[in-house]
Amino acid sequence: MIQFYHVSKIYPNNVHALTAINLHVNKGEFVFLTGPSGAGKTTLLKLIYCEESPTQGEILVNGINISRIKRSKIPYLRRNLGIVFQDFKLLKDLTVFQNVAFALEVTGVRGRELKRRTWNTLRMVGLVDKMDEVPIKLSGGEQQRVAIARALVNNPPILLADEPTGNLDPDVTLDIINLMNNFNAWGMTVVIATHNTDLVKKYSKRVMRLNKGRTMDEIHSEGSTLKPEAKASFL
Amino acid sequence: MYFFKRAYRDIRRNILVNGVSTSIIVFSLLIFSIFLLVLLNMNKLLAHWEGKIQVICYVKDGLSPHEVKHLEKNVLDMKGVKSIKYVSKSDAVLLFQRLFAEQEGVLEGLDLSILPASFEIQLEQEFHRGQGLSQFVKRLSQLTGITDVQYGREWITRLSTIVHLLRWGQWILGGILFLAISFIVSNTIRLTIYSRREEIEIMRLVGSTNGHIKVPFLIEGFFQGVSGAILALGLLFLLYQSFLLRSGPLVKAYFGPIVLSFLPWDTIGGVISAGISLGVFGSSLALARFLKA
Repeated sequence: MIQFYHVSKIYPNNVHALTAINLHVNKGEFVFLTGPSGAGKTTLLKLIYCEESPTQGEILVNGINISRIKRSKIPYLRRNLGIVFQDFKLLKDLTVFQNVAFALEVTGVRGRELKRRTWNTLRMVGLVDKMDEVPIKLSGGEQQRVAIARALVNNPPILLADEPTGNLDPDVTLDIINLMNNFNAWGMTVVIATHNTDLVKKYSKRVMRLNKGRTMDEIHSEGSTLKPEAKASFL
Repeated sequence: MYFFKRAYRDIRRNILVNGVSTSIIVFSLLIFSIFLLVLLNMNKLLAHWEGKIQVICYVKDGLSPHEVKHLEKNVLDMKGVKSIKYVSKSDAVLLFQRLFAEQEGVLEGLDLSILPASFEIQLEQEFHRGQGLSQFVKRLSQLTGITDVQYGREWITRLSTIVHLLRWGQWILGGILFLAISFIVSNTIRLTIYSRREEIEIMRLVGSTNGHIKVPFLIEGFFQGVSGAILALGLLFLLYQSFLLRSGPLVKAYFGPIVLSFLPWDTIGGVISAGISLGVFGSSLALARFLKA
């Protein structure tokens, strides 16, 4: 699903953000990307969603070589990726419903279809009763659920999350990761960047550790087998 | 339709920043159209004064009506003459009497028959100044039957210089003014779009194409431009009306028979187009920066 071949990223001020990274994430896999701040986790995700382009190496996402992708093709690639951030990136003056519908509108979905899919996605993240609220009235965990709903409303095969629980309490953190775990159980490929090693230990998942832009090691976290919650798929 | 709906929603959501951009457009265009209005009326006044430029030549006493007719034809045939009017000795007396109607004492004991007959000559515009004028006067004074030529030389030269300077100055000043307001408006729009950079970033992240991001902003720019221009013209009209009402007699004293006019329709169209271009190009330029990054 996601393949990196000897990928390096050097920023203009000669900062080596990533050096010779090789990475293969299979379809339906759940991968934690860990490492201290500045290890290159965010840069790696940015390369996947084409916010940055690699200095060296090749990247394949969903079978498409995105290393030399045309600028005009980037929006279409991003529609196949759900992206979640630490700071949620919600529009403060739109309601929960409008924030989620926003991502569907750009793909040309309108009218009843827009309402139906937005509503279904909000139901999956458990926010139907808050859909007319503005984000500022929600808790941090709820706001992140809105962001996840927005990331998923287009039904993308891949979910990327950059420190999705960085601003959340430990309890809420588990809720959010469990939610993503559920989507993974339904076949979605999930890549989560986090510096929270305690969190990673709680799950039995593949972990890729980065340090100073290099791959340190790859392990399979033993975890305490938090099983995905059984929920019906509305996707 | 979707884009219009979104533009409408975005305008409502960002009513404050939209208000700021529109106000800047209103005041910029108001200043520019005040300039245009002053220019228009100044040109009208200058044209009026220029029309008044005339050369008076005095006719020798004792010419027969036939000789006068002949002389008039000779003058009319000269290059640069637009029209000619003969003022006979008796006409001159009447004119003189009318001029001093309130000071009858002045005329007492004066022998008005010393007033000479004359021709009042209106010239084509290119003979209003410089060499054309002086050569015309020279040729005129060489005609037999003409005793003296008067044409307020200094006054005409000064007026012509002013007209010339103003005609060129209006383009230079207008150009500078337009550049300045374009700069101010485009920077204001850039700031308002900057205030919405988060929204643009989110749109890009969820897979909006550049066109999809741009169109609602351009529609907003269009509406800001149109409403800004219409408000500016409305304010200008109010100013124009109140100025005319308050200073009617004063204006009459200075401008004589000239009626101060409002901007003609084609200029109004021009101001609205300028507003639209400022709104649309300003937004487009500002967006180009965000969408490149």
